[in-house]
Amino acid sequence: MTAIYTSALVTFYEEARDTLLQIESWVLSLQQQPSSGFKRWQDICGQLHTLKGTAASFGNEAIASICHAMENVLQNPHSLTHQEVDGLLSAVDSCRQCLQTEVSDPTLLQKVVTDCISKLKRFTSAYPQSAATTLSPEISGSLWQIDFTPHADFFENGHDPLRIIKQLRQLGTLEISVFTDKLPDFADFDPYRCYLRWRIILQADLEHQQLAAEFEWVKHKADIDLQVLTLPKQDRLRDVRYIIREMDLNILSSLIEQWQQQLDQTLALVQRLDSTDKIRLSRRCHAMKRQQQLVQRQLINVSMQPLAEAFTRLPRLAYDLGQKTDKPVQLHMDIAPVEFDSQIIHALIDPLTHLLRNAVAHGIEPRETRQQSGKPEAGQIHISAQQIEDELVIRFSDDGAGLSLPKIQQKASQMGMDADSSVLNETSMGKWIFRSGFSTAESVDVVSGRGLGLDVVKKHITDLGGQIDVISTTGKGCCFNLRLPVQQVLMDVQLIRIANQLMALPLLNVQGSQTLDSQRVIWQRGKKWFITDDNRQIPLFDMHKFLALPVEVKQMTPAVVTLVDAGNSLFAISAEGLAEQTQLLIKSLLPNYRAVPGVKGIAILPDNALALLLDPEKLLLSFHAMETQGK
Amino acid sequence: MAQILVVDDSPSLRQMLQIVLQNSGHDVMCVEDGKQAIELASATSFELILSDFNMPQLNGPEFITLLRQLPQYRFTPVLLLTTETDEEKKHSGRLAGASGWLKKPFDPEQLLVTVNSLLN
Repeated sequence: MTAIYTSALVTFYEEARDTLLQIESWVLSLQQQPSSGFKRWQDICGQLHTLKGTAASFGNEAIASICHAMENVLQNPHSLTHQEVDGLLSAVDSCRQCLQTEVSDPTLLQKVVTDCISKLKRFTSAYPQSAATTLSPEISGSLWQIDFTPHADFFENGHDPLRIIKQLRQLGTLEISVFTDKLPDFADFDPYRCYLRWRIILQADLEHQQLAAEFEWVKHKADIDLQVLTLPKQDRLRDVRYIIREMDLNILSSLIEQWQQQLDQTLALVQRLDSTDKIRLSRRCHAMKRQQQLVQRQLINVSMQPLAEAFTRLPRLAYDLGQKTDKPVQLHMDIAPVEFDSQIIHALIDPLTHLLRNAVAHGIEPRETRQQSGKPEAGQIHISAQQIEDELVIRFSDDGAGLSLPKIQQKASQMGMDADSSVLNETSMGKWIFRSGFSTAESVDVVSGRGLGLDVVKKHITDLGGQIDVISTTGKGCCFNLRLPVQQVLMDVQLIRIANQLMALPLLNVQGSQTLDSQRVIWQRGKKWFITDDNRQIPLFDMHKFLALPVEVKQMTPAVVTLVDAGNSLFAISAEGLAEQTQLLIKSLLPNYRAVPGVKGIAILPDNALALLLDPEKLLLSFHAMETQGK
Repeated sequence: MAQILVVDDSPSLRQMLQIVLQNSGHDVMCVEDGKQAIELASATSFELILSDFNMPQLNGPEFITLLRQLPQYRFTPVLLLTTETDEEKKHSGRLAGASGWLKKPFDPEQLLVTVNSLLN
């Protein structure tokens, strides 16, 4: 009971952090673009209301009361003043403080709350106070608390509490506590009466109605209280980060267990099939299929994260930096809605933060300078992140002063680098500023620490196998380009044996394999063709020739062909044999070697040996190119 | 393996229920309406009763109300089979003492799941 409560509490903390992040970014966007207007306003109020309700359900009065005060500030849609934005943002920070589990000092917590609320109250004096808000019951949830108290005559009419609990088990994972406090002495015990009551924590994405339906036939014979502890995932996940939680791993392992059981039962059934068993068998198979899909989705959730995750902190940082340096900043972000390995996402956060600090501290000019040069008062920073083929490309640009060429020359010569002005120009200076220890700032300052520190940024990016370069135009601004290989992907592959080596083909592209005998190979129009089992004639390519393998290897006789579907066209490649179909981790060739035409990457085998992963479409192009050259 | 009573005025449905339930190892007896059902139930003992809602002589709820007055059937699960979904009918079934509801049309799998869960 306590354990499940703790884990629900952990969920609440994460959910609250996400919600706060969302509220923060909306408040910022409302301030930057008042035109986003009424809809945004409602969004914020909706989130605040939800957070207030959840916090109150978890007994976190501090957050509930701050949210309530924030709601009051936002009661009537109006254009937010800077003070109000500051007040709301610092209220968000106060809520975060309340969330920190280490804040166990109640006096401190109380002070945080009182300060925050009194600050917010200043803005509300102008508006009438709202009547006490009532928390509306949530209509759907992913974690439910069910208090189920059957009446004493519950067993009459054939009802059975255990049957209902069994039904609930079909809906999701249960944590059940039974209360025996009403059990009488043995002498007074009547086996026809129900003395027990239950509290059940159910983890399942459900509508209130769906859950209530389970109790439909007994609602007149029991007290049933259904409460939402956690909102459904879809609601929580809207644009916000996803963290691997203990809970998810628990679901995962229990699913796998259930799966195993199902499988065992299925196998037992197959032993003695009659017609009813066939029905049961197909039912079981469907159940297994569903569970398997769930497991797969969970696993992907666990290892992948939305790209936007790496950028969520930036809007607030831009706002804070703007306040500190008195250089207002407008941040424009265009982040592709894709998911990457969470390691990449996490590793990007620091370099991005660093670039933003740099841009505000060194790039964006003071207001007056900007006005004189006819730029908008607020510094414009654009960030875009897109996946282009196998790379993640991040472009980070500002419309500030650009890198200072004289300062960089000076520093370069101080460091004893050979950098006379003829060599060092706007295009070549990129090389210098990423050098270790290179910094043009005269002193340590609050905003960006020890000057540029781009060497650190570069290290982060190269550690990920990526590249960074910069284009700067004096007076116009500066643009950093980050390119990262999207290295780690899990892929289903078919392994084939060619010249004693294993090679991998994406299973998606493999149409099957057939035996190769000389009668099925024909020469026509100067090309080799293979006749498939169903009498189609498709081009046949020789991997030995393509890989330019030594003569002795070339003489090995291929025994099979694999039919490969390259988008629009089907072709066959010859191999000595087939190996298994399996799921392998694929890494990019680039950081360690060079791009090879027709090769998509390196597949890592379970014994840590490597296999080339072929790229069917590129391979086909290379084959065609080879034939044209051959002519 | 349980003794099950099926009460339904449609012969085809009785047959279908009988086959499905017998194939999964149960002992099934069928009658056409509530009146016959009460007579048979008083004479024999059943562990589960499946009853249609609309029947010519004694409809489902009427039959269940009478059945619950027999002391040996106070705790026996009784499932109503019906195409009706309206709340009022459900309510009358619940008040009469039905243990649950199985909506027609049902597929055999679903029937067995429900029946087996009622029989533990």
